Amino acid sequence: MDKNKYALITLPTPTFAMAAAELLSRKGISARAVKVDALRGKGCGNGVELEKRYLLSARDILTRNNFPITETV
Amino acid sequence: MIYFDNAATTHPKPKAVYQAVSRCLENGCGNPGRSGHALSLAASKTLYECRCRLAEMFGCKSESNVVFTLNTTYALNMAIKGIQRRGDHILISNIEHNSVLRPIVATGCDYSLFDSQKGCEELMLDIKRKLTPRSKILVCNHQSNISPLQNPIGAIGRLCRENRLFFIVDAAQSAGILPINMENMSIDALCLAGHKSLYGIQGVGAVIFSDGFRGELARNLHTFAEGGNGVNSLEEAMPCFLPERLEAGTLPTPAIAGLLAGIKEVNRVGLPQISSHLQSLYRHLRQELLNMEKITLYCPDMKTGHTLLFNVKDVSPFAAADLLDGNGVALRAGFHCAPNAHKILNTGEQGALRISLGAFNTLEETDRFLDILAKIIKSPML
Repeated sequence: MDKNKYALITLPTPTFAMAAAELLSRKGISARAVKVDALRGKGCGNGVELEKRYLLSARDILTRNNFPITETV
Repeated sequence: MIYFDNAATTHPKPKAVYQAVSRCLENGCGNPGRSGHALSLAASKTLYECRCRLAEMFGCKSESNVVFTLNTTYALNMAIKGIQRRGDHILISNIEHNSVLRPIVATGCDYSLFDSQKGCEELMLDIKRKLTPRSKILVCNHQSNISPLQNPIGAIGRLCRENRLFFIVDAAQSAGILPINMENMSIDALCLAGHKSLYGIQGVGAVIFSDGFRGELARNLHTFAEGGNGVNSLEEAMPCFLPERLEAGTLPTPAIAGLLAGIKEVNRVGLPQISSHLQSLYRHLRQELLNMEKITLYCPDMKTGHTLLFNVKDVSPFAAADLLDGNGVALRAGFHCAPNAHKILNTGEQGALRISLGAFNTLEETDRFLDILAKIIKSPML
């Protein structure tokens, strides 16, 4: 992942990641579900990868739809 | 072969199902939820799409509440043992399969049976009479697996809501044939098989928890099995979110791909069309069996259904099933894992013969079957 261009929103499970990617795509934000580095103390993370410029609106959409965001990278 | 054992598992499957399973095995069968490579993500996507389709089909808003299981029995075990606590009282109908009865007996909870042979109003009164202050869960099937008897799940759901009971429905014999809406019917957990009237292959079922199962309610579900699932691997406990809280170990992605294709086929044809086709076959068989000598048809007054139960006078159902098998007819004899349902119909010490219809059966097959049965009844071997 190009950290200058892409951002990551981590979520607790692969199902949440798939659902988040689907919702964001429906809202016009291109996003894909990914496996991510081990989260601190938890291991094996999941999340959605998207262009950095959409990070704030994506976070807002997911929060409003009750997605339990664990971290934004 | 005339296949009349669709309540056990449907046969054949739509071509699209065979193709989807094969395509998945060849091209998209990484381990879902485990890795970040394309094959694993493709498998995760298949699971997710199937969850979405199931949620949509059964009136659940949250696809995260669709938990994959091995079959309906595992789904029922997961729902019952997930919700039940020591000292609870559970209500079940008297037409339940052992997949309901045995897990409840194993919990050690007290349970009471209500009578599904009564009409809706009397059935409701019977449930109310059997409620106790410790009653917490009501479990029943939507459609009996041996006869045309149905439980009025909409009315039972309302009664459960009024009395703050968790309502668990065994939809093994109705999902894909009868309309089910979890929200409208106040169903808390819907348990179903992928390989019956949703036309997937064996190896996958699901329990769908209602939208209310979030946060604390989801966290409080007892896990049925624990293990890896690619989520929070450094933690010792299972995750607190559905569906992963209840999904331990590798899921059967090819079977789930098949189920997804099966659901699409059922939606393409349409429940009303499937149901109406089964009704016409049922009505024809019922009328002919009622007119046939030496045949005892159980629930003879039931004018709708897709399962018929009968016996041939003075002949063991097992012997009759063997003879039918020898003539190319596949159906099932015995008690069909539903001892109480047989008991109330007085089928006797050997049980009975079951015809269970599927979407691929034809009117021509029912006529051929009736000819074969008539010949067998006259046969000197009986």
